[in-house]
Amino acid sequence: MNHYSKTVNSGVRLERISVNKRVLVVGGGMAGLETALKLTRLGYEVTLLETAESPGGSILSLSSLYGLSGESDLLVQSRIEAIKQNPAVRVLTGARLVGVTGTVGDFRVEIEQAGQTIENRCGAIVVATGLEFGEELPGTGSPEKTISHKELERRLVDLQQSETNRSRMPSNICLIVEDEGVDSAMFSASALKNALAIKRLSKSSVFVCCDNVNVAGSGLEELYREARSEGVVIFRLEDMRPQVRETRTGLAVTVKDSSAAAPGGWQGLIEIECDLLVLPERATVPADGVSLQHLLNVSCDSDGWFQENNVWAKPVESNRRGIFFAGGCRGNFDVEDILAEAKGAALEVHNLLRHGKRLVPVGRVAVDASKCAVCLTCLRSCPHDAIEILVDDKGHNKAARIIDIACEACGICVAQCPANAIQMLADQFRDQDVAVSV
Amino acid sequence: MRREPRIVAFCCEHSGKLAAGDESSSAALPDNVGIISVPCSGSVQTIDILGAFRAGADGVAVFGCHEGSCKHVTGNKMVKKRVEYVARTLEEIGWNRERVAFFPVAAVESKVFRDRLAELSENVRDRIHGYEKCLGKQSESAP
Repeated sequence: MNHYSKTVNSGVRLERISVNKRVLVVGGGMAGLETALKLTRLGYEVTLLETAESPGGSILSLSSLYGLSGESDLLVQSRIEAIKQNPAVRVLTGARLVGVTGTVGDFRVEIEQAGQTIENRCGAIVVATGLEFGEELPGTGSPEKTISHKELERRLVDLQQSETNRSRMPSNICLIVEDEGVDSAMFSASALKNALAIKRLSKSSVFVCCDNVNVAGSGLEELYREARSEGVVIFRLEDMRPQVRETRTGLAVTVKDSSAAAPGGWQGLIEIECDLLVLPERATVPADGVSLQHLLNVSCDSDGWFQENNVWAKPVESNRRGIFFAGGCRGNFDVEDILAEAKGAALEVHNLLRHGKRLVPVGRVAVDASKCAVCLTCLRSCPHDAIEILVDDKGHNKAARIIDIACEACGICVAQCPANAIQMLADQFRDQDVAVSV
Repeated sequence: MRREPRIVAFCCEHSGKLAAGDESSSAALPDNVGIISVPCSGSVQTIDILGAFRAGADGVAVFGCHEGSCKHVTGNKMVKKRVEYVARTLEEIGWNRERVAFFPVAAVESKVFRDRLAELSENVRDRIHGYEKCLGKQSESAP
């Protein structure tokens, strides 16, 4: 505190502002469930929203998980059970968020459930809406011989269940991991895992075509070695996309493995004959995720993923204080990462709301109400939604006001204000001080 | 003897200021550069830039974060527009538009920071000598 009063001018003081200790978690998938569980352990009351009829999310469609003990549904079921038995969690299924007002510590949210609108208040919001895999595949002409990675997962479930399905598995299977706009990290792990599973369950030959085998995750390097030793063939593609053509018996995929090429001689062109081609599908933000971005007024990246505030320093925070992201909605797909993020989000919420009070520096940025013309420029330009408009008792707009608890003191509103009505009070950033240092 | 151009650099606390380093850092900044630290490059106002020129700067650089990595989301885009506006205004009054520029820089890009400053100094150097020569001639012809 002393340190603070040294660096900031005396006009700034610290105040304790009460915050609501209820937390809203949007999305009942793996990330949402984990966040809710961790939050209750830290002593928070949680409202969990799920658009589907029951929580669980898209992880239930996976046949197995690499590197984690237990099947995916078991992993989720245990969490669902824990949530159901926990009195601190209120689960709303078939519900979605339709309105958000207010600011960190006191969000007012409207939730639509079965045609009814429920109003709720919470101190923080965690978005864990997950991701969606599109069904569309890059055209190859032969739909029955070309499937997506997701469809392969479905077939693997069948494969594990009965012996007869195993004999029906095609004898040559080619998995392509990348395509334009599809991240290799997204499918590297699942392709290796599935290739290994096929190899163990049937006598098929499995080929994996991949630009970079992405093994940046715990247990992935081992998975890769295991797949290699079990006889999965991995081709490394560099400059050429795999070419697919139909033959009488199946498909022929031509790949160029530059690491196999002889310098000056053979170019490394290899033709793989296969009966089944697995192509990567595009992972996208679900439609309700997109509307949520507008609703919450949070920024997203060029692919539409919820973007973190600062990738390295603040991995789960959004540009608005009090709103956090976890899991698939950020374009993340590794189960361990998702669980880690969920824990991270819960801790960030704890950091923000603990004790039900928050120490906030007040008066770092001040609005001169007599100069303010209520042109709303600051309201529009504030990246953190930290400006509100004061209204007098007749309902007329009076002036802008800085919401100190949400303000990051970046000074953008100061620079944008056409009437020069907003000033920064921190010593070195006042207009006259800037002029002096010039 | 020709004097060095005076440069004022507005530096975002999250990128430019860190790239500039402090006094103890190995590669010291040239004497003709003055650093002003700002909480976000988006908080640099038009009047601040013009104020720097008024106070005798020959060139003004604004250092902000790379696009997409601004801590305050849109600050760097806003100041980019503002710098463009100042450059246009300078051009209208007969100055060279290259006297003011926005440079995206990351906190670790210390070399980029110095290169950009050197670039700006180089651009400005010829201008100011031409300008001062012109002023000198006028004063000679004046009574």
